[in-house]
Amino acid sequence: MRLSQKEHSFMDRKQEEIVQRITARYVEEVRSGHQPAMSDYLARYPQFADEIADFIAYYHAVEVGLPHETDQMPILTEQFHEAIDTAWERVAQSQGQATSKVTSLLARARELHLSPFQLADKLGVSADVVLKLERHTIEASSIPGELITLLAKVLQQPSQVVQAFFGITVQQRVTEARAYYRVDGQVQSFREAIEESAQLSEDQRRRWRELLDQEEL
Amino acid sequence: MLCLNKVPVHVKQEPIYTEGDHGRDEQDGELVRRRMLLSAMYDVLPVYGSVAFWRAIEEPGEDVLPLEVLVRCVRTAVSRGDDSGRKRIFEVIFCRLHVTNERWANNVLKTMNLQGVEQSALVCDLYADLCECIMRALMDAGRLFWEEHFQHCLSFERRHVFRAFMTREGHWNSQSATKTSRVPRMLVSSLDQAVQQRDSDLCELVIEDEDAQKALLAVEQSDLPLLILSLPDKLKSVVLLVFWEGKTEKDTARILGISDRTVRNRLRDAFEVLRNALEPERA
Repeated sequence: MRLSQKEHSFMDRKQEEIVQRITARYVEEVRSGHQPAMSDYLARYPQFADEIADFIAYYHAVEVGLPHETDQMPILTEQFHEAIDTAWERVAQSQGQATSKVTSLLARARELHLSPFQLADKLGVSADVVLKLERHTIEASSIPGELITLLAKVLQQPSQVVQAFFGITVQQRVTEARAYYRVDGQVQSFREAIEESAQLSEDQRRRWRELLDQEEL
Repeated sequence: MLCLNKVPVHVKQEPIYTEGDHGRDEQDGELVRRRMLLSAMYDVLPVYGSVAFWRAIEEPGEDVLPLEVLVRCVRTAVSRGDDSGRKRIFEVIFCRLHVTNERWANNVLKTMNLQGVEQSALVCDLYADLCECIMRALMDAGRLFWEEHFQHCLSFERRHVFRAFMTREGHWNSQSATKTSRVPRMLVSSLDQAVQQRDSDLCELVIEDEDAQKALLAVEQSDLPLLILSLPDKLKSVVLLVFWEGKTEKDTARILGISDRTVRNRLRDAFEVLRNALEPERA
């Protein structure tokens, strides 16, 4: 049986985690002042001998004696701030490239063979609330994180995509989105939409109230 | 909020059960206790995104949250699509790790024997590479061990970055290379010293390449791991067992579950690779 690249990657990750757990014990022994016998580890886990040996060689060549984290927060110099920013940009860029766009919640649901009612049911809201979300008539910043997470799961998209749909990928856009809809005059908060909905059951309404309270929205 | 100072990092890890391996109740108990402690610390955090939450993360005072708990916070930010929140938590994590990461980067570059200007430029490259890898790992909710043992996962991540960096900079041809590039002079400076016979058992070794064997024996013990790192993976364990732990050929074969002949062949291959690495420097 052939494994896909994704499956291979999963296997690699599982294997790495096993080796991490094994070598963590070795490192723990070294750091507590003992001299662990590498041969014991290799004899016990011969199937991981290469990986264990590689890590132990690396550990003694580079890591041994390095401090762990520090108690006091150091002040980073400009060059290290830049290095962290560079890393952040690379991650954000690759995420952006990997992220597809959703321009319509209902269209995406249709691709997954879900009607608006089925989508609403999976989200635990009513169809009228889904329609308001689709039309952007609910203030983006008032939408609970729980709903974003749920939408991402149901629509099988990363949560950033759902956030981007509502225009809340970055803080600046939240403000812009809010300003735009206020001018439009039709915006309401998610809480208002929940309270106003005639289709929402009392159970559902209570659950959303609790969530909104928890998220201080 | 639960008042706990940093949870000690030296914890027993989950046992890896294999055939003939028996559970260790004591270690299991300690592991479960630690997991519960970390979980409790996360659970009592104020509501995500609230002022109290950010105070606990960014101005913890005496009650510094373990990095493992911050990993869970990053993952919460990711699941909520809160980019700015995620970035704030990353900044705290990188500040707390700055001293160790900077020293690590310098350690790596020392092995490359670089000049001052070049070294300081590369430190930032290496540091950025590491930060990027850490960010990706922390955002990947499937990598659960980060939530249990941050420091060890960090060591593993640094190893990946180290390997990629050495390969990229041309110091290693590739991870599975059969031939390495030069080894820094510092590393082989002890080759001119008299060969020290560390273990009489080594005399049992029947190695045809005596020069290479002598050279390897003469490398200082502390320099040996770095030299071994440049070997192909399958040769490392044999060389480590023989030259790091002083095991005999027979013991090495028994430990690894391979034949004496395979041990000899691997040692021969390793010497061939290492001779290429050592000789140009000696010349």
